[in-house]
Amino acid sequence: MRVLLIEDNRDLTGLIRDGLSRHGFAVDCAASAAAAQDAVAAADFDLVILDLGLPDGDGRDLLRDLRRAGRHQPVLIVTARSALGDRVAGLDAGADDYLIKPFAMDELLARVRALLRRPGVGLDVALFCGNLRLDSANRTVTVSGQPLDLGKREIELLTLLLRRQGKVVAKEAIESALYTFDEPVTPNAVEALISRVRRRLADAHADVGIHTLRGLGYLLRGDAQ
Amino acid sequence: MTPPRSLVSILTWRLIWVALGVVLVETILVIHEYGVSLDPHNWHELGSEFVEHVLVGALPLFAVTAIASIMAVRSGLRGLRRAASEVAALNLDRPGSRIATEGLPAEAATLVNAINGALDRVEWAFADQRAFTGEVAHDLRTPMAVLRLAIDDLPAHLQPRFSQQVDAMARRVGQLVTLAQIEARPGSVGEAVDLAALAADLTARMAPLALDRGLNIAFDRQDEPVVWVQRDAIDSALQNLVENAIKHAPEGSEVTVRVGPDAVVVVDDQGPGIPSALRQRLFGRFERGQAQADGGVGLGLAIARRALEASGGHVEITDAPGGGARVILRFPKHIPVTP
Repeated sequence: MRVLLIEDNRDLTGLIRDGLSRHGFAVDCAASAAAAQDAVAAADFDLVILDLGLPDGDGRDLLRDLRRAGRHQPVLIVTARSALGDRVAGLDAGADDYLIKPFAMDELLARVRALLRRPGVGLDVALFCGNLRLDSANRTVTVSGQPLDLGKREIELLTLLLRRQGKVVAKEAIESALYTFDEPVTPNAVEALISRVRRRLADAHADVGIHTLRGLGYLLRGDAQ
Repeated sequence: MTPPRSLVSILTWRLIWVALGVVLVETILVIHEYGVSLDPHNWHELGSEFVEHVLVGALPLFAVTAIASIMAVRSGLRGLRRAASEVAALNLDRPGSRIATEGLPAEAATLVNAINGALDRVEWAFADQRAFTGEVAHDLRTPMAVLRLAIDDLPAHLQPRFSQQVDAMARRVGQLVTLAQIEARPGSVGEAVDLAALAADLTARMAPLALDRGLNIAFDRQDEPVVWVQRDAIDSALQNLVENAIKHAPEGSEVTVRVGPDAVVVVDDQGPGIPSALRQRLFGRFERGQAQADGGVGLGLAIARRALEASGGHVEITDAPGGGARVILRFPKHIPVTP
């Protein structure tokens, strides 16, 4: 996986590059908007990490230029600007995620992996968390390598939750993803489905948990976290 | 320093002295003009001349003038008394409060305008300082980011101690930035915000943090109020309150965010609660003694208070049912204008 890191602080650049390389990413660095434009023109990147405070311009303008030029790889903004308005503006400019400094390397890695997990991007085929692994191409699920027999809808649910692992998936989002117009969704349908999947995962000794956030939705994460 | 004397009393005494002086002068003039001698046989005549020229002539006129003067001064002073009570009641936390000059004599108005000018300068100085603090705090984030990543390279057994300190610093710095941002835009135009949607998004964003601490977090949507607020400020305020709750809630307990009935957001936890004595203190910006060990709770509440005041609302702290703290954000309800 090739990552372009656009960051002007040398210490930060070095630490991020080292951390990502250690986890198997090939990282190129650009310390200005101009250098970034050159890099993007010269090579194909799977993901871009962009600091907004660049010496020769605002990162958001660079981002808009990239999107307009037809570059659609996922972009993770890394910045010190923390207000909600800044986050929204960043996402509107074309970013896919927004990380506020300071952050731990684990957090950066989790965000990078999440962005690469999106359908049609990079690591889409295999979704995993803990000892649970889902192959979304041929719809098989394994726990510690042992196959787990799940129904179609259960696999769809797990796919949804695994893609957004560590984040809340709204109940409404699950309903609209799993049930079509002509299937009446009873109020407890999703809860019942979740219970079933929980039981199957527990029986198979999966080290992931599906948490219910009352009034919001559900969240899947590894038990080790 | 001798205590200031009442202007009315000074004026009254001056007038009495002048009156006595006038009587004396008039008497001398009468004596001189009418050649009335001073021996006791003429005192009766002297007396009647005195009554005619002084008491009936000059003195009533003088008395009317004196009374009119005293009344004018007293009414001017009434305006000053009102202005003084306005100054005493000034809330410097509400930017833009000034003293009115209506009903004041021009000389007092000069003084009041000078006071208002001083208030302007004080506000600008505060705003400069807040902006400066915010900028410095913002600049701290990059070196902290370097530090935080460098800690990840330390041996595993050393990491928690250092990372906890950096995380605590990061929280404080973030709060300083937020506070500076909120205070830098006191009169900013807000926007119509779907409070339930904002609170739900915020709660969902905080869910991983709650789960990290072994807590449940839940959202209770009891209403769908629309409020006119600065979205950033309210989001930051709510985030700080939920962070506070997460820090204090015991493992296994639940933090609840509720919207409604009406335009309120309520954050409940099942922690030790906030003792009444501390509640008012916690609303100062940075209570000495409180700031040291509270992990940013005081600053978080200060952020909530300023964000709500900027939106015309207020914050209440009370007890959650079953113990624990309850913080209520009350908003004035926005009445949308129908086209």
